[in-house]
Amino acid sequence: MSAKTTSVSGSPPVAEEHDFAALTEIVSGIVESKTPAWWWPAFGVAFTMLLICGAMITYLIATGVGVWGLNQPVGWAFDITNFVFWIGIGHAGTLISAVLFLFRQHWRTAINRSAEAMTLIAVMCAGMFPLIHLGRAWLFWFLIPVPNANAIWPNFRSPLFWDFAAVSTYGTVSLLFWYTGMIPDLATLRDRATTPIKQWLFGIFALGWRGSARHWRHYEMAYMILAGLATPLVLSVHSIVSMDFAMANLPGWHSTIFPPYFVAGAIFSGFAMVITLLVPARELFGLKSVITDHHLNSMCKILLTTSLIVGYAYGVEAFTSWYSGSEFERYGAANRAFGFYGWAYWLTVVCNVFIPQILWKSSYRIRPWLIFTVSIFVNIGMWFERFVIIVSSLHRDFLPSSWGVFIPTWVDMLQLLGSFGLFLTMFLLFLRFLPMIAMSEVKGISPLAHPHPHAQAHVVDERSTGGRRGESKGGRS
Amino acid sequence: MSDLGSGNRAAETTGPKATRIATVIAVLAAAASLAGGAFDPDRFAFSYLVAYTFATSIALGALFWVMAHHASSAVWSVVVRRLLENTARTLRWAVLSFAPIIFLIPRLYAWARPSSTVDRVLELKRGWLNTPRFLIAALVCLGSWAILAELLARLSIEQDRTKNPDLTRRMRAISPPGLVLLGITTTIAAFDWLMSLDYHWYSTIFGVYFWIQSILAALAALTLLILALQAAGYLRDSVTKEHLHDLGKLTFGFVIFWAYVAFSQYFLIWYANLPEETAWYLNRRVPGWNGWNYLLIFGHFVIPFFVLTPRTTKRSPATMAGVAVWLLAFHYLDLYWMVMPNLTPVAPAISWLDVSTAVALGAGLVALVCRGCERSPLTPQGDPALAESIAFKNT
Repeated sequence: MSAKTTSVSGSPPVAEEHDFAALTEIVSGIVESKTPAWWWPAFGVAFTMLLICGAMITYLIATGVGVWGLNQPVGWAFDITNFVFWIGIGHAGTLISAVLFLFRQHWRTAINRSAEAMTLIAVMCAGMFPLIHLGRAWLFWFLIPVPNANAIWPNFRSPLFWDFAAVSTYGTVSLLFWYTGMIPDLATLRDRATTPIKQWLFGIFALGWRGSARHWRHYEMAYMILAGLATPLVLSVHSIVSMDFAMANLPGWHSTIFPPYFVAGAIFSGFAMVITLLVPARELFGLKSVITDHHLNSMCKILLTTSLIVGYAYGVEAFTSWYSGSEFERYGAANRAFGFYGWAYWLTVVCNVFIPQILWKSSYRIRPWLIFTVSIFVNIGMWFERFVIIVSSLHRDFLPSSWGVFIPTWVDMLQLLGSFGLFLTMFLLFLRFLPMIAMSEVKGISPLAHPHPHAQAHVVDERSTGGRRGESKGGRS
Repeated sequence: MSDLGSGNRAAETTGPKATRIATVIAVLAAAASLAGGAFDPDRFAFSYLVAYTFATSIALGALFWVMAHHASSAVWSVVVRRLLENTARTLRWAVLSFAPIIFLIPRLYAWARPSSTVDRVLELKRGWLNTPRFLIAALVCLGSWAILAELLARLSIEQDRTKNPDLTRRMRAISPPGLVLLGITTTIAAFDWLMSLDYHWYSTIFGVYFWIQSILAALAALTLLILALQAAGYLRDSVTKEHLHDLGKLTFGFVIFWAYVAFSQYFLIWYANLPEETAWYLNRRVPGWNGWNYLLIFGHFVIPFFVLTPRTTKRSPATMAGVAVWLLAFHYLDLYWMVMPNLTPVAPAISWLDVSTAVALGAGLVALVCRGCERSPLTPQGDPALAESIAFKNT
């Protein structure tokens, strides 16, 4: 990385021209001002897609899962691909809010709120697919280990049950984390509210926040504890999702590297989605002074790192299936690359491993529309990665007599489109009604919050070396 | 330069003394090992492999930390970076000390022994499992590690003299591609040196396992080195409790990560229950070896996990020194558990050759690190972020 990078990473995460009041004005202004002109058409498109989602679910449940292209041997295809895709997207939010918090990465404050919202919405999108795949969706509560009249318990030895437990825990902790972090900002909106209804609504959710030292003390402690609880979840949820496959003895599924590989892939796809959402959002809401080049640069570095980890996993998988000397493993790997779905494998490799390599060049990492394009490729690549793992492994069973091919139907396609409708609708509502930047946290890391005599010296140091400052708001463990 | 702490000098007095003592121990132990090896070459081969991977993995982990420091533009760790550089620099000696393994290949690796029966699986992987390929890969791995370690250490020492911030940029430019190279070569080394001992067995996570072992071992060695130097009167106002606390947090994190990787490997193999994979664990679950599994579960994970959980233990030099020694010991036992069931499948049979080879290479590593510490200042004096690193606080 050239001298240019160091100067980029050395720029402070908050533009210095903003004092606290200006920051409040920028962020609260998004919620308080009139709905921007672009919002309604965008919402219209997203909501139409959401209606399609509802229509497809209705059709599916009224008719049966046969309306999808599933068959023997491919008993799972788009539904589980979409599930893994969406649950993976969510991981970036938790990584940004919990792991980067523990690692004292201050730049996280400008993007963590929207990334956490993205997590919650992605978990909703993900949760939908296993439920509608059940066939009798109304019996989904059988997944919950409640004693019932028939004494039927879920199979505790099944990774699918662990999945249910992991995802519901994840959803709960993410919700608590997101909401706890938002309380001081909700109180700001309450205090600025112009109508009694707004004041009342924000007031209820601000839980009587007055900003006293005692409130802050409790808040910081709760945030720290939730970050500690959420950190293992970043690892555990996708590890368990990977076990849905790796527990089986199907070549292409059974591989010991799956847990860390899936976690890295989840963070990779999640960061791509954060970039996809925030690059347009910062343009449309004029937030370039809050979500700065520094953030784009840092996110691209994480994207590149996780891309390399994912590439490593592809390589080790391919090598080991040859090295195993097992004819099934070898056939599985060859079929994945050169079989019926070979094009999808190479699309995955190009999107996930080759295209992100352009981010080695530091000047590219701060070009918003370039990295937006890269992020779109990664989104596509990560969806196809799961499709390849699931479908190409299933469609060639051990016996050639049970070989088959999966072709998606129009219902499969529209259901996937519909899940994007749910995602975009919810995200647009979030942007419109809630503070999309964690105001109080960004203030906490701005230069004004560190008015000690050496502050200037630190900033100079940072610029010359690209380092980060040692002071930290949290980070105790 | 008082604000740059006590690290502005080398360990001039203690260094040479420690180097001398460690060298004498290493030479004596090496002589004893070679003499023992003449009588029991098989035992020597396996003991040496454990000791070699033990010592090399510490230096390899140190190289990882140097490059991770540069790649992430970290500030807090500037103050400990020179010690990591000194440790990583010993990798050039790892190239030399690989020599005995070259001669021991047929004793160590069943795939390299002539056999009267045809093994169909082995024939299918002959393209990888053959001696010339093994040697070339080892040379590439060890050579690239030694070059990277040497390059980064030299740039850092040059910066001591010139105070040129451009050198920081150069080290930061080398490190990310260096880490990519390290990831690939470490995996190859792990597959070749350790996994191919049982050439039927394969596990895709094995490279990650060895990498995590190395990274954790290097953290423990670094902690121990800092505390030893402080006990000898060095670094006392450069490396503070805040740095120790951060090292403790990282150690805690990697103890958990080790358990995560070890568990992922075991659990997936156990659950899928495929005979070609379970054999490896079954060999380690024979009555004689079974206790070792529990030793690792508790010693390598449960006990350090609970010891490192509270804030106070991570800030206590005495506890951290104890944890570091403990983890290094269990790192050795973990490697022992990977290697030795291939030699003594029924039960572990501890031999004095295990001890003498480990002492020879361990003391050799200590001597080389001490020699590095006596030759250059203990902290990178030219690093523009040094003062900030010393002042770092965990608030």
